[in-house]
Amino acid sequence: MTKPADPIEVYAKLKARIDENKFPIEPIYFELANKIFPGDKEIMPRIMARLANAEQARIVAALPDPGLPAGSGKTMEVSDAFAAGLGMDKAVVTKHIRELFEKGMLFPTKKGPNMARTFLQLHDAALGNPAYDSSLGRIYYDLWGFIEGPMNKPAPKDLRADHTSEFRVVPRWPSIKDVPGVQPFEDARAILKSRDLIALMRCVCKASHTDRWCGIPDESCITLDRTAQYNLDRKTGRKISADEAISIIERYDKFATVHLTVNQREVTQLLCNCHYCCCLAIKFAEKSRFISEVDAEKCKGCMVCVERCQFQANSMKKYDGIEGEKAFSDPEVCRGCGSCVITCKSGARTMKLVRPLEHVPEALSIY
Amino acid sequence: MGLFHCPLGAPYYDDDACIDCGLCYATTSQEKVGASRKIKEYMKAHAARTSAVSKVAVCGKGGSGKTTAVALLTLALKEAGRSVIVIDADESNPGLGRMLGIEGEPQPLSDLFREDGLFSERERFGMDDIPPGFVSAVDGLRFMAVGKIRDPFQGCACSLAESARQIVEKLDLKEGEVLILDMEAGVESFGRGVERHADTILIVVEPSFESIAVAGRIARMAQGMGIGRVGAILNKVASDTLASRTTQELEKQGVKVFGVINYSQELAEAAFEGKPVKDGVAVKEAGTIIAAMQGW
Repeated sequence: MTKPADPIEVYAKLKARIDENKFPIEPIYFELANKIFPGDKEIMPRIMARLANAEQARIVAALPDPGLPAGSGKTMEVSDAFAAGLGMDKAVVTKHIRELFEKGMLFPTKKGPNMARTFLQLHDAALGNPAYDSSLGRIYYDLWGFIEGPMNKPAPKDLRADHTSEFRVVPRWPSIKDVPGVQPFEDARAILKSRDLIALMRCVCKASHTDRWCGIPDESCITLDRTAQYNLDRKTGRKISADEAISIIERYDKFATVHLTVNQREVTQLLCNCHYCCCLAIKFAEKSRFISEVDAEKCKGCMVCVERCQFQANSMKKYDGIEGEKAFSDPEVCRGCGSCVITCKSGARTMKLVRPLEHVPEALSIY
Repeated sequence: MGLFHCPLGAPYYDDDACIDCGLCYATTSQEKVGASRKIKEYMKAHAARTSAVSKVAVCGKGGSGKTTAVALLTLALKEAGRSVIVIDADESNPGLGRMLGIEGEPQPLSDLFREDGLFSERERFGMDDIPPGFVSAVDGLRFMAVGKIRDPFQGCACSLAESARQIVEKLDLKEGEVLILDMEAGVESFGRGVERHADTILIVVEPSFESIAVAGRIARMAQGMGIGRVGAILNKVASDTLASRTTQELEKQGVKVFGVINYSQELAEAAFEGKPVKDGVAVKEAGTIIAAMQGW
């Protein structure tokens, strides 16, 4: 693992690269960008211009297709009239739509193909397909990295996630396997085993942070059920079994990453492996029901836990009657990811169940 | 909100799984509140893909505290609004009825399933079909017993186990009803297939080598019968370290731990005096176990 670069410096370099590679943009891309990210005249129109060529942009701008009969169900089809209206051959339109679907710009909705509706939807789809890396170019990923803002800093200690968080931390399963009363929604193994379909894909956050230093492979996003099917359809995912998924997260234990998932009991979307050098969500993730505790008598003071913590919860302190400084976890700051517990060689760290069942809501409740 | 963060697992808006709640593109807090409400209503209406807990067999090594666990679970389930039916399928120990606060004994179920019994040829039945003499009802709880071996030379307990097996298999439960069986000690009842029609097996484990070994055997037999939901309750646990070490040993045997009932003076005294257990810390602990077992 390399040392973190100064985030401001990294960001400045990113800006310089973007300025060097400025390209002229047609007005249609401003129109597309305005649909999901109004007000931005610099970056989002360029992202759109990299994603869609002139013909494709005209198709996207004309969607949704008003000629599609109601109740057609989820589809990528468009009507003959739609193609004719654009003055294009229908086979060409269909081919373009398929490409834009694979790139993540269009989705097959119940009203026919349609563009992402928000900035984040586009982000999560359009950074996921490595097959288009060379045609989109490095500048495309730089633009995304720039729009997300400077990263590379752990969450401030006083930043408190609350029940309105979209994400929650799932502890590393080896850290809680000996704790009685673990629920299926917080046991990563049980989550993976209970799903119908699992697909491994490239993490979209990592794709746009080329300066990340967490070391974890790009292919580290475990998507589940319908989300997995979507990624298989787009050829952005690789189907894996529950056992393979479990062995993958075991292999990733050596990285200082944190599992995140949607903050509710049924996990049917994804299981992330996040690090603050590249993740947008980690800072605001809700705590798990556990915290990490130190037995100061066993601690050898190696400080691995201090380095690994993504939330600055771990530090060294002097304990009464014990020589030297030993590790300490601030229970107010610890989010219970278990990352420091599984790498504690002296066995001084354990997880403790401290929060009630109600801490994890049945359904995601942003408000 | 991002693409893969939909509470319903729809990968993008207007997917087949999308209910058009609008959460993923809501911008104002008012819109988010409205969308969250729609999701909650939808989830309530389409609750839990996991099958509900309805027939629970509680087993474990002799003396591990099955009867106490059954009494606690009964109280906790009642608190959760379930209508609880308890069957004492233990042919030897007389204590369960008393622990639940039931006076006197109902007529043994083995009389119903005897060759000349009322239910000898009945294929299915509900609670309402069982004659009142066989059921002791008290305070939202219904209690039945297979019968006890009282006299020497009474013969084998097989007929009692057979009654237990039949009632688990043939009793149709209404919504909200849950059946708890207090099994006899050890693994013999498995040999007789009593648990085959249960959907949940709870193994009561005290922190002892023997008890853990028996739990491993029970879990393997239950899984062999195709019962998906099998887990342990740690009982009489005196310290967190002991709880964690027992969990570790059970984990090696492939047994999940649903929860812990810590050692308490109150429970020990209730057991000694054969009195009903009262609402207390232990009932709360049992409540957590119920939540865990519904989740798995």
